[in-house]
Amino acid sequence: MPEPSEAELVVTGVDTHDWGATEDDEEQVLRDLGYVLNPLTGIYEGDGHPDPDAREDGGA
Amino acid sequence: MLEAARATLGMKGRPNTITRDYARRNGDEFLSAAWCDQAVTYWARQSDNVAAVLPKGDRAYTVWHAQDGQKLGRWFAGTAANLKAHAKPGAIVFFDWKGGDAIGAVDHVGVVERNLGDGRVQTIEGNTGDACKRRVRSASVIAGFWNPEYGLEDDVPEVVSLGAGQDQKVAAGAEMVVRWHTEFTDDPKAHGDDGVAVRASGTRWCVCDALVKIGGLQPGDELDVAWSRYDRDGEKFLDDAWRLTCHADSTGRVEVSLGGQLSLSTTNQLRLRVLNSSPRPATVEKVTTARIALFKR
Repeated sequence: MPEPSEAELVVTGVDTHDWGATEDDEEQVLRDLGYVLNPLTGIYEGDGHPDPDAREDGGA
Repeated sequence: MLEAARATLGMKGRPNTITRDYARRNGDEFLSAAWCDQAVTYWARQSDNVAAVLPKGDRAYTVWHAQDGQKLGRWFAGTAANLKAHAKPGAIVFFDWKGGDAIGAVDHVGVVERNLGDGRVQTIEGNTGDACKRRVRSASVIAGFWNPEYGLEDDVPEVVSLGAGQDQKVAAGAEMVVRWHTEFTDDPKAHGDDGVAVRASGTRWCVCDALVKIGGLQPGDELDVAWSRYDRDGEKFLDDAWRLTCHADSTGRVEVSLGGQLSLSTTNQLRLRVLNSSPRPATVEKVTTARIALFKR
């Protein structure tokens, strides 16, 4: 039996649930981080407050 | 990496820019497929982090992408303690909605934007509700994560070798862009998809060389050959990076090697042009070839 292709594996195994559980305080956390809700898109936008850990990633 | 992810916040629906980019290299079946890992692939390619984030190449299947990190010895199980201690901005984080830590059960993926320091992370994810959004996630749904070695440079340049493959006519007093019917490269869908353009996946310094053979002229006839840059979509000419005026030899032929160095980025593309100023049609012969080496800057 041939190995399934990546496309077949994606269809059966990736994001078959549209929504994963998020945290109850998600919106409050995002606001506290300095992001701003765009009411038209529902997206929290902006750069937020400076992140003291941002340099740890070595260039991410 | 994070800048590239932020730039896609708000993208939604499918097909979209991310799935089109993935499908262009990997097949149309990805146009409407789950796109969370296609998004990670897109961000890595847009930010020149392919070597660090995609050690085995493009990924749409999250399980394989998690295994890539595991094989590098970089995998951390998704415990609160591991998240608190090791999840760095830019980490690739994998989710199992059933709450397990098994790689084989991974459902979804995103990238860590911030470690909240309390065993949770704030992420950017593609295909969360069919959109690209910021999220807050805890160990209860995180199977694991790995920190790519950002700053990792590819040791060798990408090299694309092209062949005209067919004779191509240039009318008298006209110009044409050489169409490449043959591509010899390790990554055959990375360049020349529309047959004329070479597109870089990031900012690149290019060393290019074309061996152009043209017939059908009379001795002394004049024409120009040029490596030309256009905007990304190929609709607007930008400049001739290297251009050479040639004259037909005693047999009515031009054989010229046109080399040069130039920069490419994600905003432009490269084409080889022939501008025939002679009073008769010319033929760019099928044996015309080109080789372009693309170095990271």
